[in-house]
Amino acid sequence: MHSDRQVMSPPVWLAETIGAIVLLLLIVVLVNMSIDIYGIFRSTKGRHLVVYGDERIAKYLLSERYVPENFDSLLIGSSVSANWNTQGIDSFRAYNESIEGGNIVEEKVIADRALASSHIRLAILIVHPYLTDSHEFATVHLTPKENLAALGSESLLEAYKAAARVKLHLENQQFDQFGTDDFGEIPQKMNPHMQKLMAPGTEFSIDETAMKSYSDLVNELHALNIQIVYVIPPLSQVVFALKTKAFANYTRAALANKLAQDQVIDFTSDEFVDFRRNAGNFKDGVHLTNDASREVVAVINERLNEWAIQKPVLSPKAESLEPLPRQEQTGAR
Amino acid sequence: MLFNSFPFISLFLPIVTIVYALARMYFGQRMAQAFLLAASFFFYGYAKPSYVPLLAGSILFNWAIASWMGSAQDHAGTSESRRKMLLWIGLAANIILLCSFKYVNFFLQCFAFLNPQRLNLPNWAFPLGISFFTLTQIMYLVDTYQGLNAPSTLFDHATLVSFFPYVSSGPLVRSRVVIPQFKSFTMSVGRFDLACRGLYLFSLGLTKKVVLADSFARIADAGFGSVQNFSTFEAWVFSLSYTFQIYFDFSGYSDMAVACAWMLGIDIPQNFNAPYRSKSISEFWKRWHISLSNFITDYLYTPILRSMGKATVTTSAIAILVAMAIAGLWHGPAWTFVIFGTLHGGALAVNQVWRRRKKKMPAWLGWLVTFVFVNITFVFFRSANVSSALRMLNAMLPHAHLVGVAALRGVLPLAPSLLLRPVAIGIVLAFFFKTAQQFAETFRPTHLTAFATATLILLCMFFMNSTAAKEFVYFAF
Repeated sequence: MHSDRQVMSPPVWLAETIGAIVLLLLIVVLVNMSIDIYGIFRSTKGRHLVVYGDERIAKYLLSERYVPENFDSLLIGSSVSANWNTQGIDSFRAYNESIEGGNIVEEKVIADRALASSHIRLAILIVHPYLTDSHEFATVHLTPKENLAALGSESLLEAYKAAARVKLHLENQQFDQFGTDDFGEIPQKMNPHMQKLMAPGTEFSIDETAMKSYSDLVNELHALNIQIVYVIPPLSQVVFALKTKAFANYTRAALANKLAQDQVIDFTSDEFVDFRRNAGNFKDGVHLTNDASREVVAVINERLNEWAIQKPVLSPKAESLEPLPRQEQTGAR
Repeated sequence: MLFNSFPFISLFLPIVTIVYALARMYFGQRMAQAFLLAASFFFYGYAKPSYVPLLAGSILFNWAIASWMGSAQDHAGTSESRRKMLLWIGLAANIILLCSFKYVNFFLQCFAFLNPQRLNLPNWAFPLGISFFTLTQIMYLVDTYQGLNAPSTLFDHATLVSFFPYVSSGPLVRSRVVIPQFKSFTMSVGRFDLACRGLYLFSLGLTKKVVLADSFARIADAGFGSVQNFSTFEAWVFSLSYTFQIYFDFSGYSDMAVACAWMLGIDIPQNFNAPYRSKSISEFWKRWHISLSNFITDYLYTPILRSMGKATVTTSAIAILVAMAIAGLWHGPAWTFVIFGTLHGGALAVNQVWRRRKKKMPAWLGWLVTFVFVNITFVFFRSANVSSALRMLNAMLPHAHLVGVAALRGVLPLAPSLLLRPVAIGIVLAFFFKTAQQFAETFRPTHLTAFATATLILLCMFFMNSTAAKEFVYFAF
C-alpha cells in the first residue's frame, strides 16, 4: 500500500481516479435510492411520506408514485388551500397538492404527474385569482429531470436537512402525509402580492398563459372522466365586499369550461356570509386558520356525501393498498 | 455542448479521448487527427447543426485566401501588392461576417436619425464561437501574410479552427503553436502524465464553474436582473458577485479547455493567471484573458500606433483607447461594452504615463485601486444597458441607505447559507490560493490527488444535478 505522498505511475493514477469516481457515485446513488425520501424508486405501500425541503419539488416527485398509489383524489390550489386538511374527507382519500404561492402552471405540472395514473377519480379544483395571476415557476422549472435530482442534489440535501431537524425535534413537522401544510396560526398581514391582487375596486389581472393552463387542466380532467368539484374559497367579508364584482367576473371566466356534471361549492355565496364575517377564521383576510380550514373541509365532505359522487372503481392494485393511518385532526403537529 | 454537462463529461470527452488514443496507436497520427476533426464538428453542431456550414465556409474561405497568399509569395515580382490585396479581402470578409451577425442592427440604431424608417435587419442569433473562430483566422491570415507561418493544408487548418476545446470560447491560438502538435507530440512530459494532469485540471476548472461561478451568478443575477433602490452595501455585494462570477466562469472554462487539449496530448495557451492579484491595470491585462490581450496588442494596438507615425505618449494613449474600445465592442453590440473597453483603454493610458514618469504607489494601494476599478467597469459589462449600469453605480456610492440588506434578502433565490460557503471559498481562492494552472503544473500522481480529483468531480456532478446547466458567460460573445 502506497502512502498518500507516494507517486504512482500515471496509468495506475488514472485507473484509481476513474474507479474512485465510479465507486463514490455508486455509493451516493445507492444510499439515496435506499432512503427514497420521495418514493420514486420503490413501492410506497405502507410508507407515510411527507414534504421536506422545497415543497414544489417534493410534491412533484411525490406525485410520481406516492400520490397515485395511495390516493384517489386531489386538491389542486395555491396557499389559500394549502392548509386544508384533506383527512377530513371521508369518502375519498384526497392528497393536497396545493403549494404556497403556487400558480396554476406549477400546479398543473404537479397534478399531471398524479393524473398519469388511472386511480384519480376526483379533483377538487380551487377557483382563485391568485392561481391565474402569473405563470412563472417560483423556485425551479419542474421537469422529469427532478427525478435525477432525487439521486443527489442540493434540493435533496436540503430535504435531508429539513427531515433531520424534524427528527431531532429542532423544528415542527410542517406537512403531513396528506400534503397538508401547517403554516401556523399567527395572524399576519397579507403578503404584498396578495395585497396588490386584493386592492379594492379593481378587476383581477389574468395571465393568459396561466388561464390557458387552467382550462387545459379542466379539459384534461374531463377527458380522463374525473369528477371536478370547483371550490370558490372563503375570504374575509371585509376584503370580499370591496371586490364582489371582480370575484363574480373572475369566477365566470374561470368556470367557462364547466360541464353539467361538474359541481361547485361557493364559499363566497350568501350561505357562508356568517363564516366570512368572523374575522377569527382568517389569518390575513385570505388564508384560513387551521380551525376554519377544518370547517371548510367538513362542508366539502358533507357536499361530497350529499352528491353521492360515485366512489372510484379502483384497479386491483389500488384496492390492495393499505389505508394510510389518519391523524387526529388537531391541526397541531 | 457545454463542458459542464453530463453528455460532455460522461460520454463525449471519454469517448473522444479513448478513441483518439487508440486511433493514434493503431492507425497513425493522420487518422487520429481526422477523427478529432470529425469529433470537433460534431461538438460544434451538437446544439445547432445549422451553424456547421457557417464554420465550414469560414474555414474554407480563410484557408483559400492564405493559400493564395502563399502561392503569390512563390512568384516573385508583383507578389507583394497581390498578397496585400488578398489580406485585405480576407480581413474585410471576416469583419463583414462578424458584423452581419453581431453589429448591423447596433449600427443602424446608432444612426437612427439617418434612417427614419427604422430599418432593422433580422436579429440573427450569434452563431456559437463566431467571435473566437473569426479572430483565430484573422490571426492566421495576418501571420501568413507576415511570413510568420506557412499556409496550412485544408485538413490542418480545419482541425486548428474547429478544435473542440477552444472553438466556442477560446483561448485564441496561433496556428504555428498548435498545428505542429497535431503531427507529433511535443511536450516534455509523457502522454499519460499529461492526460492525468488534464483530468486533474479539468476537475479544478469544473469546480470553478459549477460550484463557484454559478453560486456567485445566483447573487449577481438577482441584483442586476432588477436594479432597485439598493443600499450601498447591497450594490457592492451584487457588483462584486459578478466580478467573481465572470472570473471563475471564464477561467474555469479556460482551465477545462486546456485540460481537454492536454487529455489529447496538445498544449494550448493558458488564459488567466490570478488577475485579481494585479497591482496595476497593465498587469491585470497581462493576467486576464491573456490570449485576447495578446491579440489586442499584436493585431490592434501595434498596427494603430504604427499607422500614426511616431510613437509618443499622446499617440500611444490614442492607440490604446481605440484598441480597447474596439476590444470592448468585440464582446457585443452594446454601448455598455464600448464604455467598458474605453474605460480600460483610458486606465491603461494613464498607467503608461504613470510608469514613464516613474511614479511609485504602495503595492497594497495599487492592488486596491486596480481591483476597485475593475469591479466598477464590470458593472457596465454586466448591465443590460447604460442606464441600469449608472443606477447600480449610483447605488454603490455612499448614500443615506448604507448597510440595509432587505433587498438582498428579497432577491436571493436560495437560503443565504447555501450560497455563503462557495462565495467565501471563491474569495479566498481568487486572492490567496495557488491558481488551477499552478496546481496542474506541480501535479504528482498520488492517492491524495486521485482522491481530490474524484471528490471534486463528484461534488460538481452534485451541483450540476441540482440546477439547469448555466452557459458560460463568454458563450454569448
